Amino acid sequence: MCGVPNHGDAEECTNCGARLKPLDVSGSSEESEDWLDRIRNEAEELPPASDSEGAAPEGTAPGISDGADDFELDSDEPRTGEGSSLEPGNAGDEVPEWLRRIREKKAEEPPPSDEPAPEDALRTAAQATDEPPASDEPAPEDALRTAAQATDEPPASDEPAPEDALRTAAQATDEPPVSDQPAPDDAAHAQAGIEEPGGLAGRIDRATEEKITPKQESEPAAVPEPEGESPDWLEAMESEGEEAEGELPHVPALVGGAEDSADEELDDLGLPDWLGEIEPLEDDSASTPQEGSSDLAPATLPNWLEAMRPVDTFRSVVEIESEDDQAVESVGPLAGLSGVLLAEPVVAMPRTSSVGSMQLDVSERQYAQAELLHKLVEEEEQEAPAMPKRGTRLAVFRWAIAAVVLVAVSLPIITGAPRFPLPGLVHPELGAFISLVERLPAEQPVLVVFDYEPGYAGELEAVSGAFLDQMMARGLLLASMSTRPTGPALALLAVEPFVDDHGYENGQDIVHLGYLSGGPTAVQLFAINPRQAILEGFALPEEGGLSPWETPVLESVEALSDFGMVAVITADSESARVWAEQARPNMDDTPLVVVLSAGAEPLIRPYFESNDPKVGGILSGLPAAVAYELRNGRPGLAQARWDAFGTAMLAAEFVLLAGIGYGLLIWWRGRSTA
Amino acid sequence: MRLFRTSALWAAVAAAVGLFVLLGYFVDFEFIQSIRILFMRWAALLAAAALLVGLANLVQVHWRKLSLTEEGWIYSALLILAFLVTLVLSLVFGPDDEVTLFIFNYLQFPIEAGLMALLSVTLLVAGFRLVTRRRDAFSLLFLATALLVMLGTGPALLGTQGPITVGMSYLRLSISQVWSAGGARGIALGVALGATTTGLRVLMGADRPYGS
Amino acid sequence: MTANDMLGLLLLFAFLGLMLGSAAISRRFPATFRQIAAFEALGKAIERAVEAGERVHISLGAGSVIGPESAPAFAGLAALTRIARATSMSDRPAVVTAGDGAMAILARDTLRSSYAELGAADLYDPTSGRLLGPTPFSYAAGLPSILTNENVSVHMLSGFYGFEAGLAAEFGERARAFVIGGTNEVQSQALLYAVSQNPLLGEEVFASGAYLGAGELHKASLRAQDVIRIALIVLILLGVIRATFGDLI
Repeated sequence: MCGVPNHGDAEECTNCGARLKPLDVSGSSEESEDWLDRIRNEAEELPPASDSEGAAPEGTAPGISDGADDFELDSDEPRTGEGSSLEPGNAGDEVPEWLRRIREKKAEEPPPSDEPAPEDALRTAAQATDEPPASDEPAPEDALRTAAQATDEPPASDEPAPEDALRTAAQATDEPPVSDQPAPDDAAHAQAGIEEPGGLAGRIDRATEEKITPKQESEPAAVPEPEGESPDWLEAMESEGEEAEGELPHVPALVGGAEDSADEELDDLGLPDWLGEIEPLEDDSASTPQEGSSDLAPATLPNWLEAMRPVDTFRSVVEIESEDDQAVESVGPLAGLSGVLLAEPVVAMPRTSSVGSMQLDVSERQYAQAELLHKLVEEEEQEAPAMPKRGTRLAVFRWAIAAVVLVAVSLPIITGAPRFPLPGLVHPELGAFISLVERLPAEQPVLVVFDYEPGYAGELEAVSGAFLDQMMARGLLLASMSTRPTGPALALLAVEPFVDDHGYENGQDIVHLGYLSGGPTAVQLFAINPRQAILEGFALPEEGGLSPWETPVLESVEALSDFGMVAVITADSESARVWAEQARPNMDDTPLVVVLSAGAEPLIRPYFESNDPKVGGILSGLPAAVAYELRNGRPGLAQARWDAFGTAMLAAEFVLLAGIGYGLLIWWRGRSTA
Repeated sequence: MRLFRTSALWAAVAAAVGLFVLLGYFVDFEFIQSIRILFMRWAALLAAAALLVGLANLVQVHWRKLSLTEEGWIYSALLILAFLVTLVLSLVFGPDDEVTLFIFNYLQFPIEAGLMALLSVTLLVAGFRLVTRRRDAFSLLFLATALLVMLGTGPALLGTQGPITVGMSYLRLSISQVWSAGGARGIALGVALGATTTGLRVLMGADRPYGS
Repeated sequence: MTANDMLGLLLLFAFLGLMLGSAAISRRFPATFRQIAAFEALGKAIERAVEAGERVHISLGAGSVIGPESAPAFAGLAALTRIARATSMSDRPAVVTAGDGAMAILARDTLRSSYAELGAADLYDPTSGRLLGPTPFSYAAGLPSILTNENVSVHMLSGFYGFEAGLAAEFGERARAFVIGGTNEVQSQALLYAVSQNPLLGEEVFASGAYLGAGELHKASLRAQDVIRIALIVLILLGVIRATFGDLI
């Protein structure tokens, strides 16, 4: 204390009598004994202090040794937790760097007359622990752990890292330590009392690393505020500290004091994040009822934390005696001095209660961090906006639109009005399609593939009707098949209107091959060898009992190229593509034409328009079908549905226009309101 | 210790079969072609068998719902009843008998046609709400294109011979056969690329839809 | 072997090489993909479903296993492996439906192996992979019973769909589920664009595995696709120039 050099083995200063060797402050790292037991032993060795101090005591000291380790760290060397520079052997020989620095600073400052020096030393020492620990545990996890401190988790006995001291100091638990310490992440999450959904844990960790760490680095540690009047410099620091503390979410500064100034002064020491966990003890002391007021705003407590808070012991009680009542320090480097602010109760956060491990001691700092963590978690937990309830408005819209379409379709059918003129413009490719059918050889059958589902029959029966009609009018032999289970029945329905008109006889002029199972693979097999791919027909005449290949229609067919033409009636482009790509190579000169739903036409057109066309003709859409019927001279389904088609199209255009107008109106009103 | 894990064996089998079928498209060797055709026949047969397994699964699911009287069990009961009736009638009379065709013509066909009609209403409702729900330029472009194509397709203009009709018809053809076809072709190329890589992953055993 | 066959084979090997090469360099040069809002929303929706004890439904469409329409369903199955893991902690594991018997079997196998890899084989329920209906519209007609009766809150369409895609998506919207849909059929994509809040356009449906973290090879596949796509664009441009100015040169 006096600065006079002493012999290395001397236990007390020869000049002032101050103790030079602290009581086992470094044993934590070198001794393998249980740290808590050791700390308890140390606490028992402590001379009885005042009454208030006497209330703190058991189980108080867990952090002392480790904390002292921290205090002594002053060099740039990373802290390993294994050793301590404040060994008894060198404690007295040379003035520690931290002490020298404190002295220098003290020398520069105007000496506050009544400010006790030990307090300064303690503050400095506390901040000197800014040294980043060489622990493997990342600081954010510590922050997480501390933020939710209400724990009965005992520290690991074999981990003398500073984190233990922090955890222990903050927890101030009386429970015996166990060596099976949970993993830091688990501990943090469990303590936070937050059930993590899914992969939330990882995100919390990441988010914590990203968000908490910089925050913590910018937040200096709190120091105990002495009772009574503060010196000017401290008040200045307090005001700065309050500003800095204002960055914390929701939590007003409890002890903002010297934080920033401490940072400025001891900037090179760099307070590690985990050290921030010590401050709560000091914060608590500053917020004792004795001071009469607390900056803590209970309303800012998050609900989950409020629920966990044991009201009676929310704050630990550290009563600082008046100088008159303070005892003379008997141990450590401050031994012999009176009015020393005892580091042990401060660091160890003594608690008066023995209520049990369920009690929660939360400081402002921890609280702020918990709040921050909570916010992070809350963001993750934040539910996406619920799907808007389908109100009656949408149901009304749906019914109204359905009614409009129904009326539009049925009006021409029921009343015969309105009537639309038949199409006068026909795409030139329709002429090519019709002439292709006209040129087909009469002795070769035409294979018609009905590759569509019943739902598409309304459109495709109308579109393909004129085509089937033309072929039957020419007396071409027809064979039908399908790669869909419902296709054969649809084929029967599609040809039915024309069979009677043209006198076609089942098995003689037309034959149904039926269902080709196996999809595109089966199409390839059929293209390679049709007779092996389909063995039985569909709806063949009962009296015949023949294989479809033995009927007059197909008896000359051995390969796909023996057909005069292959026509695929389909609604989806995939089916047409399969036939164009898989079957076409086996068709030689036999043309492949497709009858399509209007929506599939753009995708198949390249097969028709390429230099080496795989598709010889395309027929799609009701207008083309009407034109086809006009060309045949026989009205069919397409013309019968033309008027209903026209009114339905008009209704659809009206609905879409109304939708556009409605949407723009909503948008305009929204902007006006905004 | 087993030399091969079962999953690796199945992956190897799947890869080998897929490789033979794939090579058969490009290589015209007799051996590969015959193997390829054999595998394709097996595939067609297995697909039909799988349909039966799938139908059994369908009945199993609904039977469980029925036996547990879960929500909607009445529909499950109807499904099982309809399934059994159709199955029995088809087995007894054959798939092309009038009785079976009656079920198709007067039950399945109208239901599926009705669903198509429902789809038209659904699409109109979606079109009506599109600008409200997704208020961006693409939605407006989408609807404007649909309107132009419908105007060019519908009888309202097609029946006349005026310049507007000719212009609209030309515009419709331009959209559907140039812009739409070009865009669709580009999308189809992208889809083909995606399908190719998906197939290759299955061949390499990286994706194992057959389990691992 | 014709020139076209040679070209096709060459393209396949190029694909294979690019995929493996991309996978090999992925550690050194990790892939960065553009954001697809639908997939981001899907992740959140799945988390929400797990937290709320609701179900994720993956619809594989009506496509057959043995055909080109199986590709998007396979992509859906790849996504299923990830989704099964993500939903394994839920009270209600994911449910998969298909319109093809073989695809339903594959869906069950995928679920079973995913749970087995997680060490949660007891989560597997044979009825979690189902055939809804053997035809496209019967499949679509079966969707509402699952969406409404089984508390589905995420409805993912990844498979082959015809026009029934519009119905399949609309049923999900009506059930107030999160709907994301993609298919290989272009005209059905137009329907999904109109009906679904989160349509997957073009080949985005094949990117689901890469975006959901199903494996490095999925990301490598996207890289390979991009390289081949650029090559195709260059070839098309050259072809256009040749066709336009060929006579002049």
